[in-house]
Amino acid sequence: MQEIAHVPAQLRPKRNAAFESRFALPFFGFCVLAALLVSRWPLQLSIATVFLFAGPHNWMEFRFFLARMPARWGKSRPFYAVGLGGVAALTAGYILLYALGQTWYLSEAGWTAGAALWTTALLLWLCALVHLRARQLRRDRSWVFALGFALCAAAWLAPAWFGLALVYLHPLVALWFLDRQLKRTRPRWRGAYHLCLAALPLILVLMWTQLAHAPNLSDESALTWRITQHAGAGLLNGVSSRLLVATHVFLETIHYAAWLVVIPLAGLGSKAWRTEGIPLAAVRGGWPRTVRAALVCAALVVVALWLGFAADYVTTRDTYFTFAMAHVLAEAPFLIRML
Amino acid sequence: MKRRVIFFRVNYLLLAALLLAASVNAFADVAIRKPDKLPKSSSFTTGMKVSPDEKATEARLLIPRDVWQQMRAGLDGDDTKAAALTSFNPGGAQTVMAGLFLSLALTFGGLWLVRSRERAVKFGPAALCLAALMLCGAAAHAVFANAGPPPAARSLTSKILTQDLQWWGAYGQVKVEVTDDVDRITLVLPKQKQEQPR
Repeated sequence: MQEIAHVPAQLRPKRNAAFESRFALPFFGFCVLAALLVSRWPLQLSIATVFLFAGPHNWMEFRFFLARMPARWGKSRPFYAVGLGGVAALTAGYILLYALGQTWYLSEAGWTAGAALWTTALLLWLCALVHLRARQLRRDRSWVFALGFALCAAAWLAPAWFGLALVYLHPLVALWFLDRQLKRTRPRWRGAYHLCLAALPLILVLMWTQLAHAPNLSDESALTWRITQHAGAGLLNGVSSRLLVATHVFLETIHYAAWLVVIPLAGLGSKAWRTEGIPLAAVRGGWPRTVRAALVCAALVVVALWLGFAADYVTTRDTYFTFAMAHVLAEAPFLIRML
Repeated sequence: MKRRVIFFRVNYLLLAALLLAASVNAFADVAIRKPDKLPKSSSFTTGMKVSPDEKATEARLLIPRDVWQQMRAGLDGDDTKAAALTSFNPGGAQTVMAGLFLSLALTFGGLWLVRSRERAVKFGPAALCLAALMLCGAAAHAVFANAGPPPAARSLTSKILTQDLQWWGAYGQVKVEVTDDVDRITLVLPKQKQEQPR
């Protein structure tokens, strides 16, 4: 009997190792493959990944946030009010700034001042969210205001650089979400995942060594100009635009993979379409029909986005990246809530 | 109790040290007052030659006419947008706002440091070492920043083409001429006869 009782305990470590390698090897292999392909065809893959995955990954994020949203806010009311209010206000401000930038009403200096103001509002909003969450947890995180104000100073000194930092940091937020999700649902995978994360900088350094002296991408067409400018070629004049675009596309690819494959695997499984696990739909007196309708509408937006990309890629890309600021901002309250 | 009092003193010492360190940097980083009208800037790559000349009596920067035209075109074209994106400073607003937020950051950082006494007890010595290092760094920065360049670096002659001036660089008056006589930007430097190699 004793031997039988010991069997599961002896098998468990092997099973854990199998779980970890089954997760880590494909993930690491995907990162290496993505780096190789992106280094070879940065522009083509930039166009293809945004076309294929931008919309679906937004749908998956929306689904994830719906699952994380409590049906009744209770003591978290100030946190969610500030969080969701901030998302709406900052997105509106960003769209307004973008629209004014397209007209003659705003000078370039005025536009840059507007960008600095918007970044200041974003940073103070983040500080407020961290503070509200800390108050709920009865912890002192007042240091966040010191950090936030210091970043505000940096944002005023170099507004354009701050926007560029957001472009490169946003893809990494998905990896943070993935870590929190693994901690909740697949804690055994975390060790292997952290090893994969540690390998990412190495992959990036290898990419940069290969592309450091690569010639700039030709930005004669409107689309390639937009892609290189989005990756920061206008600011980082001394760096090869091929390297910049490749780095950005690589990070975006990892971001899409995390949201479309790994996070659903770790948390949702095949239940992405089912609303039973969503508190807003499942709770008594909830809104199951509204939630279902929201998910269907979001799916229709994804299809519309695909059609838009097929009809006029450049305009749809510009429009998408302007409105997509909403999902970048929406990540903040949910991530802070999960920390 | 006595130990606690000592640590509170360490706390205030830390705060004072941090504020001092930051103030040195803040004064060093005060922006030079710019003229009311910002000069436009543009960049492109072209060849350049540094030419010591025994006959020259003053430093001259010769710019080929076609390069000059290219520079003007760059200033009038889209390149100005990139320049405006990286900086703007109408009436010093940018510096004022940055300074304001930096002051707020220091104030809130100091308040947090004072409030988190328990943490200060644990990390007091480490934080003190960090503050001391920052002070040393700031002092070293101030010392290096305030030392003047050697005399050779204060005028544009062929003496600037030495290894000694790699760290300092050089500055001085230069006469700018737009000419058709050269095929690349040329900096002519007066050369003294005793500098000829033996």
